[in-house]
Amino acid sequence: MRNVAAIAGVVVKEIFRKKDFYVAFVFTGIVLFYAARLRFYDVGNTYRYLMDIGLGLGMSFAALLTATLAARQFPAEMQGRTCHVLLSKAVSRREYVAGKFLGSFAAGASCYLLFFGVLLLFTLTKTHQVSFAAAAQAYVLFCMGLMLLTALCTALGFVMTPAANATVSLTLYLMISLYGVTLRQAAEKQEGVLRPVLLAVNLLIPHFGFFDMRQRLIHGWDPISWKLAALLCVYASAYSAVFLAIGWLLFRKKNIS
Amino acid sequence: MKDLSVKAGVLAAIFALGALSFVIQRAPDLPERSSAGDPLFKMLGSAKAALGDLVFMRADSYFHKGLRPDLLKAALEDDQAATRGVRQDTMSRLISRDWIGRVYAAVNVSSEHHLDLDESDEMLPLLDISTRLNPHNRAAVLTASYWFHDRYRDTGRALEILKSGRGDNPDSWEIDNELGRIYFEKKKDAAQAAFYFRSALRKLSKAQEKFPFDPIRVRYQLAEAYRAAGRPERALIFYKEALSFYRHREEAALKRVLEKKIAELQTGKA
Repeated sequence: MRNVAAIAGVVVKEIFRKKDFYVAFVFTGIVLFYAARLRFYDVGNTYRYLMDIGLGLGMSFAALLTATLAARQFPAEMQGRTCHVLLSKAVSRREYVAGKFLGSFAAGASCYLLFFGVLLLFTLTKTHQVSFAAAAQAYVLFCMGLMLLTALCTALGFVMTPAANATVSLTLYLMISLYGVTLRQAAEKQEGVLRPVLLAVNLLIPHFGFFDMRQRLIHGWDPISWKLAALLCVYASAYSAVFLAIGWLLFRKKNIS
Repeated sequence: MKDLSVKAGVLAAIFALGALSFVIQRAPDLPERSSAGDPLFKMLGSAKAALGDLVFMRADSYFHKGLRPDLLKAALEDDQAATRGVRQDTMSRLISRDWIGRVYAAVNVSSEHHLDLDESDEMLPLLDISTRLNPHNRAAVLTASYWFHDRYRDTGRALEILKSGRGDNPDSWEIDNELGRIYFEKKKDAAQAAFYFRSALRKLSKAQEKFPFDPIRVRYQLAEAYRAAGRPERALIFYKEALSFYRHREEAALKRVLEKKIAELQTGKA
């Protein structure tokens, strides 16, 4: 466990050492500041569009930074040969996979915490109508989605280059987030073999859309039931475990010498 | 020598294309707000308009308190009987077919509600951004004007939006019709209303096939404006024209009104 924590700690430090996070953070701040100063038809007491922009940017940057961080872990260490040093010490391959995954996930979740915290403070200066229970759920559930994405990137990192891995993972993330909700309806409209195939895909894919509570938070709806939130955490953990197991199996057979 | 002439030809073609691009940019048909002088258009090209349409869809989602427009569209496609009650049932049926649908329904906004009046300001930033990004989105212009005119009773702002939209969409009969309606109903300026209804009618003639009831409605409104402006002879012409457009079963009540008004004018009761 100490090995896992040590590897994870290095990964977390990596995201804050690079400029990417600061560029994204400053960019989001500038966009929000600019958007807050705009006057629309001389109506001044609006805040939902600001939450929408802020959450959209925060979630996009968090997903992007996390996916690229997780995707480059193994290939970069193979290239720099640091992987050999790590694994020649008392670090098992299972610990290595777990450490890289936990580090990438913790880095992504802490990045998003900063984006989310700043946005929440920003929103509270405009309105007091934010439900803290819904905000907490929105943050935790998005982090669960981020965990799934990190596990996917970690697994693909053992067979793909960082660029290909990040592209494939983020495309899947985006497509499933956007179209997952209507996939079953689209499947039911098909005829022949495509119909059962699409229905099976709908059942098998990790539905990233389950973890996006943005609209509930923005439009002041009640939080979802805590039981459902807990079940969604179990869902994300189960899929992440499957992806990590696949990654570990791929890595176990890999000749790194 | 041959090589040189080919190179000269290619160069001349490039210069000609360059010159053509300046001509195209200055062409009067290109609307000002979306082309020359607009740095966002220069940067994004036609993606700017697409972005504007996306923002308008988002405004629609705001109007439905966060309901995803694709869900609403899917529900509408699933059940053509689009009365409000039926649509709501269809929507919950659509997303609750299995456990995946039920989770989506619980996490997302999945029932149809509209913004309350005290929160309706929230839609305005998106409508404004949408019309700035795509000034040719007539639905966005008309929705923004509707919001000010019918919801906030701010007729001046509604007219401002429509007049600006008219400049960007010179072919739109809907904008002229709305201008006429506001001048007639709110400003009580029958002459100005008649001007806009007449303009709407001229533009509508091109699109009559698409809108079966609109030719009747615009003619009726124009006749009403002429009548209010003290020109019963012109009003009679357009009442009669409106009546001549009736074919089958459209708005029987208005047909009776038209017949009554024609009879009144013909007997000199106006």
